[in-house]
Amino acid sequence: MRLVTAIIKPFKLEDVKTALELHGVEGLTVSEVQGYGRQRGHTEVYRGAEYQVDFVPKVKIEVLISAERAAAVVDALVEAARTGQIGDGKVWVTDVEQLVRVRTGERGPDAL
Amino acid sequence: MGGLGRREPAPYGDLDLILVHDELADITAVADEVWYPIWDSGLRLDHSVRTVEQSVRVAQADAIAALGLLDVRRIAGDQELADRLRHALATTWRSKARRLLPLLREERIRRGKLAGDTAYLVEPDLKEGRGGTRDVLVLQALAAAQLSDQPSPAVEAAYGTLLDVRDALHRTSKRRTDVLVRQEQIPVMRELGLQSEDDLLRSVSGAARTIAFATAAGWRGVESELGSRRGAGTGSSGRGKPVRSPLLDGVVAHEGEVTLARGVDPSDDAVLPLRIAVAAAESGLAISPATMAVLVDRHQPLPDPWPRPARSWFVRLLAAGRGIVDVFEAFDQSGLLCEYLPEWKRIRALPQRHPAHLYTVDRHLVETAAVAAELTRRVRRPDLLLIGALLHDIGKGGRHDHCLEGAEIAGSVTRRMGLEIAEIATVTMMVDQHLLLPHTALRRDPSDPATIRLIANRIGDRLDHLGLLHALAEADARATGPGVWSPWRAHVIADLVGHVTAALSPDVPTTTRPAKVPESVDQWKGSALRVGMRPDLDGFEVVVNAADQTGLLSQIAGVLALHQLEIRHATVSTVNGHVRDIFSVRPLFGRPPEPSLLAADLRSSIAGTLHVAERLIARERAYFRASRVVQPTEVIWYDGAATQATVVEVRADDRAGLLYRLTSVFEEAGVDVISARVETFGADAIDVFYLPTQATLSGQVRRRLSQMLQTAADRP
Repeated sequence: MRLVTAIIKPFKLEDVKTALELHGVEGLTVSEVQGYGRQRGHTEVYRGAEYQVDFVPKVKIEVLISAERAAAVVDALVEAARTGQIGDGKVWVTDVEQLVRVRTGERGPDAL
Repeated sequence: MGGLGRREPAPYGDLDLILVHDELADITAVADEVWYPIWDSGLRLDHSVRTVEQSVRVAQADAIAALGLLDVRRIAGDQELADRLRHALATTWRSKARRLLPLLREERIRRGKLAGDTAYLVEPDLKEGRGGTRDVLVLQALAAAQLSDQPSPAVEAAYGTLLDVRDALHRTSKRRTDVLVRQEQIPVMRELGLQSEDDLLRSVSGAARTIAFATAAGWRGVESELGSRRGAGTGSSGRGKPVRSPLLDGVVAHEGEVTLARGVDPSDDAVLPLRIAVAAAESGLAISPATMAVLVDRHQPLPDPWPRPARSWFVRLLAAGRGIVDVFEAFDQSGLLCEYLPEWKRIRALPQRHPAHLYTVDRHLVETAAVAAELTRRVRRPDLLLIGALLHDIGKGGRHDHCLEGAEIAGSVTRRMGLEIAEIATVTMMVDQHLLLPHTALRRDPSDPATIRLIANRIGDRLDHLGLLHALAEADARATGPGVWSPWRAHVIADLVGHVTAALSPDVPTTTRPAKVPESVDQWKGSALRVGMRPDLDGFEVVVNAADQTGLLSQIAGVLALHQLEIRHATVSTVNGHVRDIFSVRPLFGRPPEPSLLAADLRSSIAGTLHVAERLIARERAYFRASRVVQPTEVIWYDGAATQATVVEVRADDRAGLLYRLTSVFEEAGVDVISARVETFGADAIDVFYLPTQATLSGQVRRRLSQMLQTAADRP
């Protein structure tokens, strides 16, 4: 089992969700996050005042998936999230040791 | 005791038992024999063992316990002992109620804050919420203390409704819970044989409204009963003689409630109910039930379209912030709300589908307007922001897209309110597009020119529309539920707004009406000081004709304020050393003064024999000051917006003497004002001053002027 985590631009969430659904992903967790990468620190003008933006709003997506489908899901996700501009985000995959479905107590791949 | 005592035990409720004895030595052994079989059976037991005297002591010390003990009923044992206990507890409650009730009140307020309003929550607490079953027990206890009447049959019926829902909830969820959470709503609906979850929530909401309203009235009754004996409380002199303090024309505060002034007849004045609403919302006092009843009986229906004062009072009501929640409830209960806004019926107690929503649609709309009242400084048209906020979801409950359907309904509502065609178009745009910014920000690339074009098209390339939608998006999200308007979301939307702003043409100052020169003024020749007055749509029009001199505008503004004339609009212009100022004013109370009196005071003020500033300070102390949302005054500078002038726009809380305060700043700074436009939108004033370009002001001078203007407007 794998945990796929992605940081993407907020407006790309709908596209990514659609792409993942096409790849049979049944559930995902979305969080509103803020941070910065290499494009760190740009200035914006809002209501006449210029201000420094340290943290840029992003969306974090987490998907639990079987090991054999992880690569395809990552590809689909990257494809859907890309705009080609700075700040498109990152995707990483981690190993999942144990998984339990709370309602039924099912464990391992059955709980996916 | 409790529900068991009242013969209405909940299916999964506690057994609330008290073992009463007469100083029995081996009572512990008896108790064990009674309690153990109950524990062994798996039932939940809330138990106590007391003598009659001990029970009375508990009831004297603890208001909540006393409330529960009022419902004791003998299940088994000595009848004489049980009668003695009941009698002793009832007597204790009656004699100690005055001391215990404030504690009970505090506890109910605390619980009510935690549990929220049963009537308006999408997941209501049937027991502890405001308008829940606990409130009915409190009402019965007030009656038992002989401080109010027995709860009305309507309240008893509402209580029965909530108990039925609670019982069904216990049976379907198989546990002791009083919160009707979303996942239990379909099972409970089926258990009760209802057709839809909406029917279930509407019946809960209707019952809880009835209870909450009766409870609020019950407590007010108790407060005035206890307060008048103590001689304390709002509107009371401290010597037992109640004082009526004026709030608005025809409206006074009396014993902590808003009532009609003596001799005021609602059938003479169609706008009076709206003024009462404003007085209640701004003072935070409730409208007295007697006054409400008189209004319902004798009020004049508003003509279609509404007269201008009706609209401006309505906007001022919306600008009051949190205070409008109770006022809308009172008007809803009395039926007046649906008379003024028949379209309100479709969203009344309508539950929401989206899980982020905390409130029913009607309450969400009122909450949104209350939040929007904190954001009026950010927009060109505070009035349209508030009306748009109140109507943005009015299209819900139909079969089609609620934005589209809502825009159509908002169109007919605002036509009835008497808005002008362009204003109606702006409000319908707001309702139609209220999801545009949040949706686009989360779905389209804000830096993509196509996204910016899309937004610009939808808002007719207008920056003022963008500002309205931005403020509405924030108010809508903040009124939805906690955490919906996160800093994250605020940032994503502001980013989009920033991109669109940069693409549109720069801002110009607020102007909503063309300058007009009344015929009467044209006939005046020469530079003699003349003051004329005639009725206009908003009240009265005052025209001042004079030779220009420095500080004249502030002298005029001061004299008008001194005569308790509220300036609604003003056009001030100087041509070739000749001043023509036109003010649309409304007397704060009663009739306006004679123009000759105004002229005389103006002459004395110019001559220096009338000290307007000092007189005003004394007068302002006596004014009723609304407890509105505190928003700092905003000062905006424009260049090149008008030819040969520097323009400064001041957005501030409207108050008596505001124009005087602002114009005094220019006088003090030695800056001439060529012309000025004053607009009032409900509770907000937007004053625009045109300054001569030869006085082109450096950044530093502007900052100092801005600061002086802010200080003058915000000074208490």
